[in-house]
Amino acid sequence: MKRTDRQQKYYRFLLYLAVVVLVNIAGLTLFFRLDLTANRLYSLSDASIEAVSTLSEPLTINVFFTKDLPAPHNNTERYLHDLLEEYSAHSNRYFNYRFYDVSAEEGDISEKARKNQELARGYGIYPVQIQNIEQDEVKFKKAYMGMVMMHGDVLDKIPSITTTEGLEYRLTSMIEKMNSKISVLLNLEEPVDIRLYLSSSLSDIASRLRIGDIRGVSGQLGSIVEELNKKYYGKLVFASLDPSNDPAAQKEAVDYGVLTLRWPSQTQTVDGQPAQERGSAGIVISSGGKHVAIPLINVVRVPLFGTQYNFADMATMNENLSEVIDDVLDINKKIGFLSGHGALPLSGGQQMPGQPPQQEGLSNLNALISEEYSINSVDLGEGIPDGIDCLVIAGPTQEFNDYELFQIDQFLMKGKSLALFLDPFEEIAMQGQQMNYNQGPVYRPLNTGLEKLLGHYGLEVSKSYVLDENCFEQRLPEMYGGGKQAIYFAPVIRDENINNRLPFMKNIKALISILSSPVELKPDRLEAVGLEGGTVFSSSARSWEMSGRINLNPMFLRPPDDPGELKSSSLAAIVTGEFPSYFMGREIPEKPVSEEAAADSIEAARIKMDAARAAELAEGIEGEGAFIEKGEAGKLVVVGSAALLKNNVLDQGGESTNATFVMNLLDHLNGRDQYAEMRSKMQRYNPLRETSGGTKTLVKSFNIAGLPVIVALFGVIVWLRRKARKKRIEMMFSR
Amino acid sequence: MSHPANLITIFKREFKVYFVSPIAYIVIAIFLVLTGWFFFSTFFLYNQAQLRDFFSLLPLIFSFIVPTLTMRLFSEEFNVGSYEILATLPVTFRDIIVGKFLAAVAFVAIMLLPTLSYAITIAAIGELDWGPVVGGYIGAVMLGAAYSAIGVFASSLTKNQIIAFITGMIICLVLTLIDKLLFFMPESLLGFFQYAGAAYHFQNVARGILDSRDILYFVSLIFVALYGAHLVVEEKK
Repeated sequence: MKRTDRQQKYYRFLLYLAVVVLVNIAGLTLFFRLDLTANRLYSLSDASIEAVSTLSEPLTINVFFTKDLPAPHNNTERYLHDLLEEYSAHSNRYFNYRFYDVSAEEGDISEKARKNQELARGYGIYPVQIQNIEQDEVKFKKAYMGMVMMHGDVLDKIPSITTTEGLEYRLTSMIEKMNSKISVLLNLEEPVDIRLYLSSSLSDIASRLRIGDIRGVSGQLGSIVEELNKKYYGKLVFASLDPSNDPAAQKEAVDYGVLTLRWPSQTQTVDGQPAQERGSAGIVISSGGKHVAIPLINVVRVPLFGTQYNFADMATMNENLSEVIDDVLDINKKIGFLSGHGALPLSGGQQMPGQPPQQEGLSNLNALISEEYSINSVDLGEGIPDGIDCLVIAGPTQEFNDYELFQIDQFLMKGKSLALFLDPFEEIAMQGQQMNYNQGPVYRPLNTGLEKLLGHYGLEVSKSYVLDENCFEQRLPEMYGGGKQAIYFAPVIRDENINNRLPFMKNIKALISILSSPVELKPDRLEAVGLEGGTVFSSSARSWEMSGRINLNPMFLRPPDDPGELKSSSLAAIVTGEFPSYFMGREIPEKPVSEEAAADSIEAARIKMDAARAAELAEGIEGEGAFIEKGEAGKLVVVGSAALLKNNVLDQGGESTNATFVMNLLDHLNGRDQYAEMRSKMQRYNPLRETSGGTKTLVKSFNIAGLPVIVALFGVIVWLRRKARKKRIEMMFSR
Repeated sequence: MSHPANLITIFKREFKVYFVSPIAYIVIAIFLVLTGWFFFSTFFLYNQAQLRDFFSLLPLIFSFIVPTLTMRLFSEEFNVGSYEILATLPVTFRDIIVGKFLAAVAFVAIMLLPTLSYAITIAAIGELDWGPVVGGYIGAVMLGAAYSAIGVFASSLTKNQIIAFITGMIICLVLTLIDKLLFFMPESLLGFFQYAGAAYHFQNVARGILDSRDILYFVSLIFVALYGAHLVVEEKK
């Protein structure tokens, strides 16, 4: 071969190599992906793609996840890997992530792993204990399973990722929150005031209260705020006030509800009585007219031990402050929650230290909503603040006056959303003597006035409970004979009775309802007012209604003998469209004067004078836009049970389908459907069905040993046949 | 002049040769014992209705198995001298190389066939998502093809089959392990080395995502290896 030919060939090879490299580089930006998984697991939702493709500042995710963990945690790590890879594939240049090697806590670990563990702890990510089965023994292992997200100067973290459920949702909402935090902070006109009210007088009794030395608190807090200021773009201003020497500070402390302790002094008053000393301790964070106080001393009354005083843990103060500052700055989207009217309070059922949360409270719901929204308590008498897009009314028991109904009606007319969780009855427990006769509670039908509005919009909530044969079954203790007891008033809603066509109900396969009333849509009325209605979920065809005299003792409940009474009932419904006002053609209700003001004749006279003067000034001016007859497109969802929101139905972690339903519903009503769909993406953890030991052995032995044996046998047969053929040919020629 | 009929003839001949000797069955049986053992020994412990752990084994197992299939493709011809005869026949080098390469790929596909039993048994005891399984097999064939191309290249370098096997295995192992050894690499080259790893691209396909970048990577690898083999074989003319 000629030398020039050879050279040319190598040059051509190099040229092709360069083309291959260039095509691959071009392919990095011009690419397509096809997700073959059934639930499109690896396809990011539009909201996530938008969040990472429009980053304007660097976003770094550091993951600290111990390797080779037992199932299901290994699956979680793998999913997290895949998910971050997916974010990375759709992100702009500002997104990057890194997995840090943090090997097991026990035994010898490398220097690098040790450093990474220190780094994790520096971010506030600590190992969690997980259960592991090794050689048929249950062992406990410490594992790091956290991640930290840094965006601009803002930092957020998930200390332990124990489930893949809704992980994309959590990450994307974290990114979105950090984004909005940055924009809120950069647009903040006034600084955030962090004021420490700590009376020097408390030093005298600190040893009696066993709260340690409090003199260094101001310095400590100052440096915590200084540290925090790096993440808050220098918008925090810290001040330390001593109410003992500053009467104005003392008044402020009292106004803000800072804990103030009183005790007899060593000195005496002029009449020989010991003088009273007092001291306050607390932190108040305020910005833009909103303030929140953080207690520094917690007073706990412990049986037998009396009152105990605990000073706040300064080690976790950094995180506490950061949470409260975010709350004060209203970084999250606002959601309104009706207060008063006997409605279930969100703050009810708070968990006491060392005790499980109260079954009847809404603390789980509160925790779930608080993760995504900033909750505003709404007093209808004061009107509904403008920043709220969705108002939740949960189980009101008292009647609404016309002015309050007008507020609700007009809220809907503004194109906003309303979620009503309505109970048909109020349960009144028997007291005293009647209890002795083992009488159950009395159920009083509720008439709150909301019925008028709902009827006008084409909805009716019946005064009855829906009972269903497809229901939750309670296990009975052995002393009551064991077995299962059907709880007919807790229907289990199956997939076929859930309206999966609604975007926020997609992938919700089952729900449990409790003490629900039928929520019927009135097609004629809906058509007349031009609204669209749909059922969200309903009971099974084997359900019936109980009205009139209610007795929910499971022992006395039985399905009706007449099959004609069995029918499916809608338990939640949604109505959308441009709502016509209930007050159209009616007199606009006036704001009632509060009882206290009315009782005070001077105050009443003042209000009257003010009103008269206002009327005089306003004479000749006609209000426009004060009353909306037909509004912009709004959404109304009515669920026939408020009990659905209680702790005994909603789990703390928000992993049940009921929790997903409630959160998805609120997201939908707040115009965040993409987030609802993201939360619903399910089934990353795909366990095998219950399999017997024999089947397992069969599967294992067939696949490990059986298959190779079959292949080997096949090979032997082919070999024997070839041998026979060879022999035949040999014989043929030897003849 | 390249002719499809020649290519098909070479492919058929090479493919048949595999199954004439008992070695093919031994290789397949060893492959099945290895994958079966590593996959099923922890399968019920993880308790997941998926085949990802099986697919994640393949890059490493293929690094050892595929070079054994390809080591003789050219080395034997060089060793026994049949290459001289081949060179005089009216077939192009391209036909010879592609024919031999396709025979090796077909053998890899046949070798994977019995493992469909894993998917079928798992589908019987759990809700198996078939999307990632299909993706996994597409990826496995692409990976097998890439490693076969490397094996063909390694075999073209020498007349000693053992050296051909070791060369092929080392290249395949480097491509398999490169993304796991990233911590040794300078930070500025991390992205390049990660992209160069075959296992990294294979894992993407195995989890149920067909990405044009991964397909492009495998096609590029096959092209470069086969072109390299072409250059070497031509050199020996």
